[in-house]
Amino acid sequence: MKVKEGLEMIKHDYKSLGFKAGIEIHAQLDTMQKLFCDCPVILRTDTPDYEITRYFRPVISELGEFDRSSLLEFKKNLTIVYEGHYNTSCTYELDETPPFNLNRDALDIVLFLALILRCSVTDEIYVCRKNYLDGSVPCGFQRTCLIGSSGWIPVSDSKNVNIWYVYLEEDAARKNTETSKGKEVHYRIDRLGFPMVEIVTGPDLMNPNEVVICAKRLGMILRAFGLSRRGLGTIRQDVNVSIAAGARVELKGVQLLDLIPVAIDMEITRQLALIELMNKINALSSKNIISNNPVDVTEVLKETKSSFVKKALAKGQYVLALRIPGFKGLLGKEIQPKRRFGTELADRVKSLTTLQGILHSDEDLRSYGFSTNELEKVFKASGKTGQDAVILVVGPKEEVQRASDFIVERILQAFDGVPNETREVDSETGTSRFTRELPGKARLYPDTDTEPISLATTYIEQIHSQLPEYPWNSVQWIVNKFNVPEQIASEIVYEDLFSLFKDTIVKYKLDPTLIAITLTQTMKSLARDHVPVHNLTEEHLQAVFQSLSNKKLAKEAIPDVLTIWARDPGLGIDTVVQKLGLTALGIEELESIVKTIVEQNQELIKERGMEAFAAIMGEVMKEVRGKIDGKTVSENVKDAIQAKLTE
Amino acid sequence: MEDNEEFEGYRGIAFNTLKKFGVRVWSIVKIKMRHMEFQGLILPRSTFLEDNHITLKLDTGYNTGISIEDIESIEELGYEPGSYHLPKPEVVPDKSKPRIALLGSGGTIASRLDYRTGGVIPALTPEELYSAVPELADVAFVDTRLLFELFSENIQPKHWVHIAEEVVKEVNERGAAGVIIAHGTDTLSFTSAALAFMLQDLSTPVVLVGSQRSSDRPSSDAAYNLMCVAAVAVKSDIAESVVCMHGGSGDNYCLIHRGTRVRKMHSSRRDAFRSIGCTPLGMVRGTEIKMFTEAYNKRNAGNVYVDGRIDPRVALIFTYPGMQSDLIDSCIDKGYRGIVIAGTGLGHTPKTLYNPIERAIEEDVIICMTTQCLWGFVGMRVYETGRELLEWNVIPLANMLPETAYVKLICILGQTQNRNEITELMQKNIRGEILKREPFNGYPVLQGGLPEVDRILKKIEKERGYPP
Repeated sequence: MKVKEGLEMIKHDYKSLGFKAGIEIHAQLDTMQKLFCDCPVILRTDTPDYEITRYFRPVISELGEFDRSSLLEFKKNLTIVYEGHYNTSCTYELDETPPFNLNRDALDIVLFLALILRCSVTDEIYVCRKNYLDGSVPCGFQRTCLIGSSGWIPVSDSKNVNIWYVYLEEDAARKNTETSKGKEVHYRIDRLGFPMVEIVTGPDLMNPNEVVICAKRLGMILRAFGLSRRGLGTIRQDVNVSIAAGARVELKGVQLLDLIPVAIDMEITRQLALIELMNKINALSSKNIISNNPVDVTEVLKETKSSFVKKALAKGQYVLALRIPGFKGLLGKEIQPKRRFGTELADRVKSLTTLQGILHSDEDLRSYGFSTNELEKVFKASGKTGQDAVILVVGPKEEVQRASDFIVERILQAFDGVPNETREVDSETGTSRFTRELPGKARLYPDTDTEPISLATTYIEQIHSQLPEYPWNSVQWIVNKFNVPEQIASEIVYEDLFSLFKDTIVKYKLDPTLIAITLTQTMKSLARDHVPVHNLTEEHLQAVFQSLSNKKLAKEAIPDVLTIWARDPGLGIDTVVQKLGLTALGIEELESIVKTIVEQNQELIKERGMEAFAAIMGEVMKEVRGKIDGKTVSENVKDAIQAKLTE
Repeated sequence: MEDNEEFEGYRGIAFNTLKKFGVRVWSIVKIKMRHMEFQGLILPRSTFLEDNHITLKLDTGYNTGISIEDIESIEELGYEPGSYHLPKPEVVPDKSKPRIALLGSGGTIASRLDYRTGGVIPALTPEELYSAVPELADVAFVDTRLLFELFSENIQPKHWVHIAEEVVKEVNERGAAGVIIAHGTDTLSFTSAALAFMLQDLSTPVVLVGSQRSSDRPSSDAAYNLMCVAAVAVKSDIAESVVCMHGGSGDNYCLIHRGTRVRKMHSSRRDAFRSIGCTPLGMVRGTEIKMFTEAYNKRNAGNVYVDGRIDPRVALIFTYPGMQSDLIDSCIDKGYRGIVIAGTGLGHTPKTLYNPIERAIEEDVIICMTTQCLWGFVGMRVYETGRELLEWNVIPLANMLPETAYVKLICILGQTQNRNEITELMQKNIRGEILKREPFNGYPVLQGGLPEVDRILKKIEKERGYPP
């Protein structure tokens, strides 16, 4: 997945726009068990053993009200189906057993993270519930707790960004788009309960570049100390963006760092367009004349040739026409590349109802199969006059009415500019669409199934006293001190190999770059060749380095030794060396081998002189590879040819 | 002084700290610490927790505990006492619909979370009921009444009588088409058995219901259970005390269990309630009822009445290896009139109990035998142990569930002191508590993990569209 090239990018003057951004990073932690039960942290791709159907209901908040976003989910009337496996999910995930004790490994990881982010650690940790009614959590709420607050992370030598909060929480179930259909949404519960950290920065990032650096550095910390799981979807970042005249919008699904600046610029473009629209509509129209009284035009269209409307009517569905006074041409206004204000309205309808979208008078309605005559009748029925726009919605009676409500609501918001909302970013274009309103704090309440956890100060101080250097500083240290290329130094640090690298350097007199390359590129290339390198432990690697430094092994033999060992990790180093026929060669033995081969190739040497070197070297290496270091061989071969020529 | 509501739950140094800075529970405060500041609302604190923290609700909605020793100062910015408002019901109940009574007794189904404190508060007003389950209005006009608020483990035999009397009032005087009892699940089946024995000439359904997930949770089973019990109360032709709860883990169907044959078989699952030794009476999917049998008492025009005579001086004792004579002896010494033993296997006890049992009978204490296996009959003539116990007039109760036997003995002892009559009544099948025959499919303890069983479960799921 790469951001499309040639995308028309509009750069903005971030400073004068009053641009501000903060990020939220969610990362799955590398633990063996889930956060509140003893199930393994494993994703399943095989057929589930069972399915369980549930319905969700909104609950009354502490203010005696229903949380609006919960209510909107409920009104979609979804059926939720959970797909599970007997041996990797238990009754906890299905909300059939109360939570067990919080996973201490996960807590330790997040404590470490909070401390390296210079946060103050919560004295007494409360598990809270955060309501979700989309079905992604079978109990209807995610369990989450505040671990650290008021920290910071440097994004340059002169600037620190505030870390507002560090939370420990459970990951949600993952939607199965293959089995979901219509109002029946399927979730795999395998991912549910994976321990996850959420890191929230303050809105201190003043341009997209800072956002990228900050996201990168947080990612580096997660990776460098082996805290997070690896692979697609294990780290998810959201960016909160605003400009002074706009509003805070949460951009979700910005997985790739490259996408961040694109998505941000696209969002600024959108906010600027909405501000322009606001100015225009306040001149042309007014909130007072926008009313939510759509006209039922089902009858008018009963003979229509439009095939999708025909199908809908056959199912007994309805068509409503909603007149928007003074909006002619504005629904077609482009907000982001290939996205119009009409698209924004359609997004609301798609996301909050079960309808597939809207039709409106700023698009060519005849392309849907309507006749000009029909359209005229529809417009007339709706009360449309010259400067008005008309929106059509098609679907079941209750749904079209609700769609009309959401459209009017969004149009009224347009008079005030940019609404606060959560948007999903398209990974190809960087544009985004509405997913939900920003949730209120009424969604949070204490969990009554768990006891608060009080942390001993000594325990925190112990972790604090052993905090490592920032990983980006470690990379520079390796580069400067050992002259290792930066790319490889980065790999050492971010693949969590830094301590192994340091130990090896101290223990053995070896070329640091050789150690670094062995730990990174050699291992990777073996993995590419399907060598089971995961069987190799630090002890294996240390033994290899030891043999290298004792000259028991030549560096050329490293890949072969590691391959044999990875396939049979129980062997001793001597057996491996013997197996390869790699007992090291003495210089005299080498000289005798070289001599023999040079004799065999007398003719060639006479004919080609020093140019025969490559051929002869090749033959010698066939005999001695891995038993003695290549440089010695090459010097020896050169000398022997030279001697032959001067005979 | 620490009981003062203004400092709810705070004691010791936490209490002193609040006092020192002139703040209290529900104060909106700014707390200055050595390295940072917090702003939030001081919440009441659980008295079970240590006294060295203040519980604060932050602006983000998260709760956190703040260590007293790190606090430098607390400034009160405002005061916002917690209050709990009820929402306006979205629907107006339709009084032309059949009227059913919902009697609340406490427990999970009739409780809500106090979001601020995390405590549970009882709630069973019509407002709450209809705002939580508006669809109820389509089925019935539900008249709610809270009889008492007790966790079901605290319900006593006298409360069974109270509930039974209220059922009679609802049916006879107010013409309820059916009565729902909302009840904690822990002892739900004791109450269902008690109502079965106490209500005479019952003419309408009496449906007991609870919930395994409280109604403050979006995933609560309360709403679905309520919909199903309302359907049973309004539409079914059952005139018995029954329990109706989730049949599976999903919100697909509820099962209707006979009140004397049902038991809570799981501490937390939604489908915890199971008919033991027999199949359930029927099932409900939403509002659609399907009966599995015709063998139940049918709705009729009679007048129901209560026989509320009880003698609660009854013990229920589970025997175990190494058990000594003291438990039974102590019951006799304390004046218990009856003991139901849940014996091992076919109805056995260790020899150590022979003496106290013989003594009990001599002192006119009734001893009944049931099996702790739950499934199957006691068979006291098979082994010598059983024969000896029979010799001493221990009353074998066939396959009556131990809890049902306990409830029944309380009722029977309230009616008569005569040993022969007691024996006869205890052994007589009055409310379906004894199964004359156990159907082969009354023992559905399928052991998951066996490939063939998992296959069966999957097959059932595929055919029915939902798991068993």
